[in-house]
Amino acid sequence: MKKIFVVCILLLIGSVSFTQSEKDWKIKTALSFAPGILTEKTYSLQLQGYLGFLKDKIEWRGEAFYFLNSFGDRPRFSMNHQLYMGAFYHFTETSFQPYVGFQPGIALSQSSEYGSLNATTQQLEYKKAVNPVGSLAAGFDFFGEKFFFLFVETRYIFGKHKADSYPVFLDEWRFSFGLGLTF
Amino acid sequence: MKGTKVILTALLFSANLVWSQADSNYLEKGQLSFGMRTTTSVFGGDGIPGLGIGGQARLQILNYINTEWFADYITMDLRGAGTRNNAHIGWSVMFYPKQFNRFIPYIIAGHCFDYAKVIPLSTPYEDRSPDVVSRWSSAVQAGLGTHFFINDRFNLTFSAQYMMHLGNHLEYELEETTSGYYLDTNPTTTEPDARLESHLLLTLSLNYRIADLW
Repeated sequence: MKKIFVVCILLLIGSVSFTQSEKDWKIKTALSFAPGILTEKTYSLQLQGYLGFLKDKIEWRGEAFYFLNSFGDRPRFSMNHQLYMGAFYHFTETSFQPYVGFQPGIALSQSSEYGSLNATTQQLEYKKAVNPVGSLAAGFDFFGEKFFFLFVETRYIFGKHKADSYPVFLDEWRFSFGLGLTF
Repeated sequence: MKGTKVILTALLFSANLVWSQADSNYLEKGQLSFGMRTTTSVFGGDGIPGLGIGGQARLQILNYINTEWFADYITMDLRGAGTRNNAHIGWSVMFYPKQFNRFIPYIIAGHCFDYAKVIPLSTPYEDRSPDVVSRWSSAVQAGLGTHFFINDRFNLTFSAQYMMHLGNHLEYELEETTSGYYLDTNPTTTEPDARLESHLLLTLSLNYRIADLW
C-alpha cells in the first residue's frame, strides 16, 4: 500500500513537472503603429503585426509591416510593405525582458519618384519590386501576470529598392510600442 | 520498501541521463533544424556587393557530417545603371573536424542551381525592357564556417563560400560614360568570356533545431 502511495506521489510530481515544462514557452502576438525616420527629414508610418515563439530566452518572430504613408521633404515610396523572420535573444526570464535581435526580410516597394517609359503604351510606369532587407532590433517586453505584455522596440532597417529605374535606399530607423497578447 | 528504493533510483538515474544528454551535445546525428539567413555576395565579376535573403534546412546524417538544403535571393545595384537578381537553390555537405563546446567550425561544399536576371535602367525617355537578359545555370560552392550555439537548440552560423558557376555567362558590360554608368546587355565588341563566373558568399544565419529524428 505504501509502495503504491509512493508511486502515485512520484507520478503526480512527474505530471506537475511535465505541465511546468510545457509552460516554459510563450506565444506572443502584437499589433502596433510604427513610425519611422528616413533621411532628408522624411518620416513614414507603418502598421506592424507579429507572431513570436519564446523559449529558453530565444524568440523566433515573424513580422509584417504594412506601409500606410510617408511625409516630409522626400516621401520617396508609394509602397513599402515588409516581411521579416528572425530571432531575438532575451537577456532575462523575468517579467521585464530586454532583448536584441536580427531579422532578414523582404520589402515589396514602389518608388514614387522614378518611373520608366513603357514604349508600348507610352505611359510612365512605377514598377514594384521585391528586394532583400535586414533589420537589427532592440527593445524590451514587460509581461503582466496574464495574457498581456507591453513592448517598446526600435530597429534599423537596411536595403535598397531596385527595380528597372534608379535605385533608392530603404534604410530607415523605426520605432514601435504597444500592448500585445501572450499565451 | 526495497521496491520503492529501486523506483526512486531508476527515476533519478533516468532524469540525470536526460539532463546530461541535453546539456552536453549541441550537434548529433538525426537532428533537423530550420533557419533564416542573410547573404552578401562579394568579389564577383562586377566588383559590386549584393544583399540577399534566404533560408535553410539542416539534416544531420552522422555526428560529424551535416547536410544543408538552402535557397537564396540576392539583388545587386549595378552602379545605378541596372539591377542584377540572383536566385540559388541547392544543397551542401558540412564536415565537423572538431567541436569546441559552443563553437563548432566546419568545412562545407555543395552544388546549386542558379537563376540570374539583369535589368538595365529605364528612364521616362527610354524603355530598355527589351534588353533584359537572364539565364539558368548550375554552380558548385565550397568554404568554411562556424556555428555558435546560444543554447542547445539555437545557433548563429557564419560561413564564407566561394561559388563557381558552371553554365553560360550573362554577357553584359558596365561602361563608364560622362553621365555615369551605362549597362550594355548586348556587347558586340568583346569576345565571349571563357573564364568561370565566380563570387564569394558571406552568410549569417539563425538556426533552430526542431526535431531529433533518430
